[in-house]
Amino acid sequence: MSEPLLSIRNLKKYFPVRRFLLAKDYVKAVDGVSFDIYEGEMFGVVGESGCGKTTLGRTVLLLTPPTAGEIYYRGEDVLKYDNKKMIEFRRKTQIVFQDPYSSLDPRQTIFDVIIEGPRYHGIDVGDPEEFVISLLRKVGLEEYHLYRYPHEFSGGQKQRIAIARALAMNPEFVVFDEPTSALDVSVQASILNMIKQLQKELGLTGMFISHDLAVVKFMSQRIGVMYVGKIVEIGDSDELFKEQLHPYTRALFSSIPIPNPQKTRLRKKIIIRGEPPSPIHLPKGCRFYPRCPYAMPICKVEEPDLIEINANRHVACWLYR
Amino acid sequence: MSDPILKVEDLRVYFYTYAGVVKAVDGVSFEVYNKEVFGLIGETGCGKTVTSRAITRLIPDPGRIESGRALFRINSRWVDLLKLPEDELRKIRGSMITYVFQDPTSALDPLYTAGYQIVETILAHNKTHPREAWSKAIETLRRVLIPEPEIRARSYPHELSGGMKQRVVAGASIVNEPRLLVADEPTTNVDVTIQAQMIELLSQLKNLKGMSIILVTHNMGLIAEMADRVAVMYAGKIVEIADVNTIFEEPLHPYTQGLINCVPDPTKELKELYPIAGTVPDLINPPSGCRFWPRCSRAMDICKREAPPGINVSEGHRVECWLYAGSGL
Repeated sequence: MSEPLLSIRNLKKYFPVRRFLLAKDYVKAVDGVSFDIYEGEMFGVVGESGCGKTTLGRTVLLLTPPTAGEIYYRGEDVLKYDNKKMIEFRRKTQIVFQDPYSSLDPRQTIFDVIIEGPRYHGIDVGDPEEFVISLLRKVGLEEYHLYRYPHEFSGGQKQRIAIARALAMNPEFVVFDEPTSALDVSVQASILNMIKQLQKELGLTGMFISHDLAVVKFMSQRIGVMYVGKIVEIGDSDELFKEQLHPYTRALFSSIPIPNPQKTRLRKKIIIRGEPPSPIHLPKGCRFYPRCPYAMPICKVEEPDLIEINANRHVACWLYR
Repeated sequence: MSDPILKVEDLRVYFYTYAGVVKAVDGVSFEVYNKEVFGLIGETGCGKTVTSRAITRLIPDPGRIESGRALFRINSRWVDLLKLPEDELRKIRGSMITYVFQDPTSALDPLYTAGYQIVETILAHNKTHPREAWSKAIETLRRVLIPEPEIRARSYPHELSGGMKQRVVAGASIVNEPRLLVADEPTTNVDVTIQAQMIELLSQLKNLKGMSIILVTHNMGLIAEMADRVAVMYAGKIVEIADVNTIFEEPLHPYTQGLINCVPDPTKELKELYPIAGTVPDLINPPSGCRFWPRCSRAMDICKREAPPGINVSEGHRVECWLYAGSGL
């Protein structure tokens, strides 16, 4: 495998919440996450709501400063970047947000939405209109859409515009944060196909965040499974679907309904009791142990690290120590 | 399959908005049998929620039920819920037909405890001593898998998590042992692991109490998991009805076929998904003829002119599509 494009080490993002007068608590949205993303791959991040996957995506791009940890881009420490390097990093990394209804300025035409970034960064795009039209075509829109406003578009079309805006910067790395969760299934399919094709065509590296396992599997080569601020398992997408090691991953994968009545009713389901803990008051030790059917004494005391099982699989669980 | 408990015939619900008349439900007919899970599936705005609410006339202004019948069997008598006087209907709502709505946060009153809201449901329909009702409420909370129900019954909605609130709503909806439970996107706001718990709970309740469930959802996986029979809705109409295996294995309507092909199946190796071209039509000015033709790859001339009739292609399998005209029973 090639060199990692992006490496993050022990990344943490805490949000303070005030209690009473002076006592402070923290929401530990991302709590010590490490992984590598290699050039040209799509890395999927999957987890339930509130597990910190969106915060992770935003912190990786420094849209919000991390509380602790390191981020390396092509081997360079991003947190030590000077202003000039930082601007360059902002150009090379882009994000497509979850909700296309709020991520486009209602008072900007599509042309302005897309050209704003290249203009700011002084990118030579030739004829700006030609440039924007070629981008619109790439994402399946037409020339006559150029001077329309966001409210004139459907949700799927808005998401296409948001993707065109990201591509306008000629990025190397794009975070897709649940780009289809606000869309209907018939529209979702065409957006997913398009992202997949563009990624191949432009050789993009990316991070695809979603709560939908089937979508993440379709989109990514490797997947990281998040549970309350931590990555509990990382593996090759196909292998992870064949066999899951972490008890949480196993329960998660066995609970997704499969759109096939016979398969879905015959398979064995693991239904875990209870709910995820609050990211403010985390249990001591492994954060999954209160719900884990295999919990051992050590799980209550010490938190397991993410360890390598083989080149393609990492898991944070005492069962594999 | 046993006999029907609900027969909906030619239901039409229109909304009179400033922009025009929205024909949200436009001629829908179906039956729900005893002890079955009847799935109603479709995309946003197809009219599935309106259909499920119109059964007990829960249609807000400016909506109006234009025509149709909703025959509900009480003992061996059929009553038309759409014509019943309001006070009679109120006796049925909340006791014989109950609802679990999509958003548990807005379904619960923030000013009353979870236990009180279940007690209220009991007392509205039964002559019970409040103290007895309270212990029944706790029993119900235990049945819907709420840990420490005695303590949780005294909690206010904001003290409960989303999954827990949804279970309280489910508890309130089963406490009077309904004949028909309408579950409208019961798992959309909860996570997969909680969804799995809800699916298990609903199946258990169904078997235990022998009730029927109308499951309204856009999630194909959930339908595959729970439904016995499925109705596929598109732009205010039911385009296909069949048992769940037929819908997934031999769908006939091009829209049903499209819907099944565009959802990624995690157990398969997929190179590409097959989207349905275009978008859902505007229901103020729906397309002429068949409402799906502008997106249909097999559209013919007649599709643009005339709405297709319902064709019974085999026992229990009805499809509204010109492709199957003449191949009916």
